[in-house]
Formats: sequence, structure tokens, C-alpha cells
Amino acid sequence: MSAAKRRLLWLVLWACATLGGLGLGLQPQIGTAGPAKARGGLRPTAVGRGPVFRQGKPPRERAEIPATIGVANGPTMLGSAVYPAQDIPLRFTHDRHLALGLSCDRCHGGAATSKRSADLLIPTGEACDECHGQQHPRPDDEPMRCTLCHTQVEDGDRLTASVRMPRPLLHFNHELHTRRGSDCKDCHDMSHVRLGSVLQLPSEASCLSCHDGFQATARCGACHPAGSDGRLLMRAQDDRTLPALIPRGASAWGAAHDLNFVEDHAAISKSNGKLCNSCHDDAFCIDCHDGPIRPMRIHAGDYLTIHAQDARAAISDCQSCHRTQSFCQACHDRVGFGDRQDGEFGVGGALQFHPPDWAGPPGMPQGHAHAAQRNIGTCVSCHSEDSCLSCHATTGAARPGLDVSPHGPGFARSARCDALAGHNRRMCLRCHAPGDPQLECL
Amino acid sequence: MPAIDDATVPRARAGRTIAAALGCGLGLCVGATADAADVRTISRTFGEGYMVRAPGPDGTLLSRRRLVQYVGVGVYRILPPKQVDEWERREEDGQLQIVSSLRIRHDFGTFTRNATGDAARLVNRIDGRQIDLLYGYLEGRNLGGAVDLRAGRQFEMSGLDFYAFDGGWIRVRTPAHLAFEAFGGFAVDASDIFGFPTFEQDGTDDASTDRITTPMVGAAFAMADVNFMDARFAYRRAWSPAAFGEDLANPDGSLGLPGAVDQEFVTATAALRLAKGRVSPSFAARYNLGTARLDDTSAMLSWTMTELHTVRAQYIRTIPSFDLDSIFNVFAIEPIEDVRVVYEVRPGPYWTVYGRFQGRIFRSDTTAALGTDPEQPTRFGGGGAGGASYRRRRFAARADLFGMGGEGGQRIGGNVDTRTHVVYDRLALDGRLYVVGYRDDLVAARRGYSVALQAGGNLRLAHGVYLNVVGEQLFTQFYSTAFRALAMLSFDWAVRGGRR
Repeated sequence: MSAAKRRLLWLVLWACATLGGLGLGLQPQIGTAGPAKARGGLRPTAVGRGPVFRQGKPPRERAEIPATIGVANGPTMLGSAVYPAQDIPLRFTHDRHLALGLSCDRCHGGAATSKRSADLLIPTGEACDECHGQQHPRPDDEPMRCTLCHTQVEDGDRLTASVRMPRPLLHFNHELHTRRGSDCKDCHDMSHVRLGSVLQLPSEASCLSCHDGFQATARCGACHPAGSDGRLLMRAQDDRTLPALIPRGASAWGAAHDLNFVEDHAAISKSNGKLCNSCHDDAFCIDCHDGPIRPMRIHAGDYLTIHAQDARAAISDCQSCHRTQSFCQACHDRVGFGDRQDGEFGVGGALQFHPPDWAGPPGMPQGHAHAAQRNIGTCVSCHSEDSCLSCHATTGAARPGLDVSPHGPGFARSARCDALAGHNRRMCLRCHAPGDPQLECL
Repeated sequence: MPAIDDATVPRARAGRTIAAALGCGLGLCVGATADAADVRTISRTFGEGYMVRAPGPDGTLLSRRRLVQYVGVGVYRILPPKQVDEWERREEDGQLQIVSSLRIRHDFGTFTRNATGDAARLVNRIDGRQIDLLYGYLEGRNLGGAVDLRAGRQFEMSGLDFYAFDGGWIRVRTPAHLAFEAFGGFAVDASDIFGFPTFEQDGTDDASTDRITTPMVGAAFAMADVNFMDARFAYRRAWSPAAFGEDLANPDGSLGLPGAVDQEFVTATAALRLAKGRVSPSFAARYNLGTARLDDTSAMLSWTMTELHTVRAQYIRTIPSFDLDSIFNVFAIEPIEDVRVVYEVRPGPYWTVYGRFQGRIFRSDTTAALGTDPEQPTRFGGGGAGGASYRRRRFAARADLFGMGGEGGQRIGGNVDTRTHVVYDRLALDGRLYVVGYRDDLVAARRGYSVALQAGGNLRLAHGVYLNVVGEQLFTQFYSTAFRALAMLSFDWAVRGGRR
């Protein structure tokens, strides 16, 4: 097969895996009704008003953003980490019931005394029967009215789907809140609402209006359950295919996991490592940092050819995962890079990684000196200390050099010299002979 | 340098490994006598294979065939509930657990030559060496309502510090919202069997100074349970006493390494949560007492303007630093500065859009030997990026465009990542496209492009069993075609044992 045909074949395969899947991904959700089709930051509104932006609502069911790394779990299922995906095949309007003057406890009678979030507080069919007539069970003389409420009905009275409402991943005590004076509408916004869904459940933003650390505790674990290791349980039932609890918005302490979080998380973890540890265990960090998981988007394509640019421009980013003196040099040494004599890139080799005059013999512009000053990390990914000692050691040292001082201006008598010599004289003795007065920072 | 064989390795190092093993064993015995415990086993297998082209005129192809196996065992909830009618012990009553992770890895790939010279032994040991005990410790949480502790192989990874040690760590919380920490042990050497791969060698020349046993101690105090602020001030020192170096050779061949300090740091961090969380400034700094410099400083401000709009600005300043044994500390003179600003907005129900700026500053100074001034005392690098994500119920996509320039060279490119859920969310199909063009600023010949197409799948085989497969076809001016594959099989199972 020719190269052109191979490229074409790959393009077709890729298109099938991505754009072809678009058709599957955009299929409407079966079984949902009415305003539940709205997504994300939009909340449904009354019929005819069109969607408006509304803050602080829980996220709707959306597929995960494609992973930038090779993930060690399965495809993440839909829904929210706190409120798992629900299936409510009912035809029901809250606003119509509320307009009739019904109070919340008329249908949700157990809510005021509920102490657990796992309690099922939605009304049963029998509760509906009080107003809608006896249907659960239906007497023989009563006509069938199943489709009045149920949307998945066949043959008039055979339900093909029932309400599925998994328990939320949350500690919550209704009784405690009502005892302290909270009203239902303080947490459940029922305005412009028809079908019951996760949209009426309180968002984190509304919780934080009281749980601010003063009126009520702001401790994450007060609401979010912890796993057996004491860390916040990111996924219900420890199932790694369920949606994960992702920090966002005002409760994230600046650690919102946005689209650039992979690139920028270093500064966040430096200043508040405890925050990271509240969810992530040891294995999570070292999976990437010196681990086998590849950040696909960061090391994309022919990264091997391009990586030298990153090493020069952002060596500190490289070093967060790769040890220059083991990972980098171990490979460079064995593919011919570095300064070994038998390498094509070595001293006297046929190829040169650096431009001409890089080594900067006396009298020449010292190209490499300034590069080393500003980014020694790049140098040590190929060169060992021996490379430097051959020139920079003094003539009387254990490995004599050319006595070329690498110290910057004003090094002698400086606090830096005192600190280096005072902490570790062994380093000084690599270049200086014992008895050299420069060892005393003179 | 005189050859140093394995027999000269101080006995203390072997003793540490035995002590760590005994500590884990003791912990397991504690677990065995508990009334109830969650035992969790994790097995993850990573495999990847591809070919790369070696630098040089002949373009030798090298194979990469890597296999990595993780084995993790954890025993949780060792202590029984205090009350007989409780199913599990309450968090405030304290708890014990044991966690461990072992990694076995091997690279079946090829190189054009073997490692040579002083580095050969060390390179061969740490790169081909196959067993890492990443961590294994007994942990106590909230013991007596105030004490947290760990004992065994553990590591610290805070961004400011990344090291592993065999020893103990304890934290005592006081009612005054202050916590005091103390920790100590022996630093772990990556070249040890059951080592930890984070250890940074000083020149990879297998120097005796890298082989000496290194005790380490530290202390810290931090704010505890304060709602609007987290702060920590820590001190750490690692040194190599002369008593541990009696059998090791100096560079001049004489026996008996003098004692020295290898690392000594003071770190300070602070993070605040202001305006009900909408504004979150944070700060971190590390002062290296061995080099008398602030060698790592970062400051960040995150502003959540609304639920839809966020801005994050970061400033990072680092000076490369090594163990104080290393002469590289002398060469590292100037800091690298990095400024990043990201703005992200959700303009619609399906969309998230971001814009990003990144700038880097490099500095050079006059050389001491010849007094040569740099052509450019200050060099800049940086660029920008923009992108968007689109998420529907079963389909999500992300696209990015970026351009970077300055130090290192120029690069411009983009990527598209997609994921589609099928088969009742048990299978996700991935597709990715990466395009990049680049030009090196040192050597004009180093310029080119690459186009990579990826297709893969992420499958849930059974509860706790996941398979992730990625295949990539690469097109560049160097390869007419290149294929590589990565697969990951993960088992994550937990069982609960005990009488309760």
C-alpha cells in the first residue's frame, strides 16, 4: 500500500472514530421530557420564554471532555458527581401544582423529618391518588389514566419505565435544616419549573451562602462524604466510571479544574497541597510525575523531535515529571547525544547539536556560558559534571581543568559563596584543590 | 576514581530497606487482628510500543516496548467502631490504615549503544532497574482527636519539594488552629533496589557522594481548620554524616568522605479564600539555605467573576537547584520567570471557551572568567493559546490553537480531541488530531512539521476492570509513516474482611 493510501486510510479511520461518533453522541436522550433537554449553565424556563442564563445550578448530563492523558479507568458515565443521573418518565408540572396552592409537604411529607440524603422523598402513586383518583392500585370500575402522568406506557396500562432516582453523594439532614428555620424554597428554587429533576436540587453555591464558615461550617467533609482513606469520595460507590467530583466556582480555592488546569496546576499545588490531598491520593500524583501515564495533548505528535525546544523554553515544566540526570541523560547517552567520544554529537563527532563556537574557547564569545547561566537544567540533560570539570576545574584540583571560573560576578565574599562552602565543602573540592584560598571565599 | 563495588555500600542502607519491610509487615499484622478492615488491591498494567528514529545521518530506527506493572495493596479502617451499634468507626474517633504501591517496569526497547564511562553503572541500574517501592506506610488519622502520623516509606510532593524517605511523620493539631509537624528518616536513593525514582543525581557519574546514606529531618507549623486561609511554614535538612562515609572514596582517591549538608530549605506557603471564594490569592516560596537564594517562588490570583467567567494569573520564578553536592548549583545563576494569564468563559450551555497568554523571561549576566557580556541580557519567550470545548450528552470535543516563540524557537499548531460514548456508556471512542509546525532558534535546519491522528477506545470490561487503547499514526518529513500503540489494563478491586 502506498504512503498516500495509508494516509487516506488513517484519515478515514480517524474520521469514523471522531466525527462519525458525533451522530451517536448527538442523539436525543430517550425518555426525558420537556425542559430537561436544556444543558449546562442554562436552566429551563417557562414555556415560550426561551432559555436564560442562570447561575449556580448543578451541571446537567454531559459527556466528559476528552482526556488529555491515558486514563486508568473506564468511560465516565453521565450525570453529576453529587446528583447521579435520574430518569423520571413522568408528565408532571410543579408550577401547576404550586399554583393551586399546594404546600410542599402535601406531597413530600417525609422531608421535614428526613435525616439522610438517601431517603426517598418523592411522592408515591398513592399520594397522587388523593387528588387524581384511585389508580395505585386501580379498582375495576375506575378507568385507566396511566398516561395522565406516566410517559412510558404501552397497551394502556403497561409501564415500560419507572422512576430511577439514585441517592445523591452527599451528607444532608433535612430535619436539621428545617429545625433551624430553613424553608423549602431557601434551597429548592421552584420558580419557572415544570418537571421535577436535579435542577430543583440545591447547588453548591446556594449551600455556601450559609456554609461560609461563620453561619455554618465550610468544611468540605461536612457535606461531601469521605472514603475509607479519609479523602473526599470523588465518585459514588468508588466506581471510577461514575462522574467525579470536580472543584469549580467559588468553593474551589482557585483550583477550579478548567481547560488549562493540567498546565497550570503546579503553582496551585505548591501553595495549598493540602487542598489537593483532600481528594487525590499518592498514586494519583506519581502516575504522571515520573509515571507511565502520558499527557497526550502536551506530548502530542512527533514530540520526540520537538522536545528540545521545550527543554530550552520550559525546563522547569519538564523537570516536574522527568529527572534530567536519569531519564533524559540515560536516553541521550545511549542514542549518541551528549559529549561522549563515540557519539555523532560528541566532541569531534560528525554532527553538532550546538552551533559553531558554542564551547567558547578563550577569546571567543562564550555562547554556552550565558545559556548555562540562564538555564543549566537544559545542559544537564546531556552533560554530566565531568563535562564542566574539564575546563572549569582549577589546575590543582583532583581532576585538573583549565582554571576557567564559572562563578558569576561578585561571587567571592558573597553570602552565596559562604552558604555553598559552609554547607557542603565536598562540592567545592570538585574544582578546587585543598588549601586553595578561594575555598574560603576570598 | 577507584572502583566501588556493591560491597562498600553502607550497611545502613540495606538496614533501611529491611526496616521499611518490617514496618509494613508490622502494620499488616495490626491489620490482621482488627475486627474489620477494607482491603483494597489495585493492579494496573501499562504497555506501549512504537519506533523512533535515532538522530544521525543513518536514521536508525529504535524500538520502544515498555511494560509497567503496578501492584497496590491497602488496608483501611483497621480500628473498629467505638460503639457496638456503629457500622463503621466515625472519622472523629481516629483511624489507622496501611497503603502501599509497588511498581515493576521494563523497557524491552533498543538503543544504538550502551551507556559508557562513569555514568554507565548508574544509568543501567536506574533505567533498566525494574522495581520501585513507591510508598508503603502505616497511617494514623485523627488519633486522640489531634494527632496524624505516618511510618514507613513515604514521599512528599508539594510542588516546592519532591522527595521520598523511610521514616516517620507526625502532626499535632492544637485548639488554637495551629498544627505542628515533625518528620525524619533516611532519604531514598533512586539507585537502590526498591528505590524511588525522584532522586536527582548530581552529575550521573556514580559519585560516592551520591551513594552515602542521607538522614533527613524537618519540622513545620501550619494553620489548621481555618476557613478562609491555609498557611504553612516548614524547614527541612538532609545531610550525610562523616560516620556514614568512612568506606567511601573522595575524588582524589582517599577514603572517608567528610560530612556535609545535602539539602536545607525553608518554605512558606499561603492560600486565601476571600469574597466568599470569588477571589483566591496564593503564594509559595522556598529559600534554599545552601545556595542562599529564593530558588522557587510563585504567586497566583484566581478570580471567579461569575459562575461563567473566571480569570487566573500566575507568576512563577525558579532557579535550577540541585543537591548541594553538585557543582551545577554554581552554574545556575539567573532565574527563569514565567507569567501566565488564563481567561475562561462559558458562553452557552454546551460551550466553554478560553484564552491564554504565557510569557517567559530569561536572563544572562557577564561571565566572570573573560568578562563577556551577553548579546541579550534579557530574553523573552512566550505566546498565546485559545480553545474551546463542546459537550453534549454522549459527545464531547475540545479544540486548541497555540503559538509560542522566543527562547527555544517558534512553534505553532493545534489539536482536536473528541470522545463519543456508545454502548450504554460502557465504551468511549476517542479521536484526536494534532498538528504542529516548529523552527529551532539555534540551528536553522531543525524545522519541520508533524501531523498525528489518534484513534482509541476506553472500555469498561467489568466492574473495576477497564481497558484503554490508543493507536496513533504519525506523519512528518522524517517519517513517511509511523504507528505507535498504547494500552492500559486496570484492575481495581476492594474486599471487606473481618467479623463485622
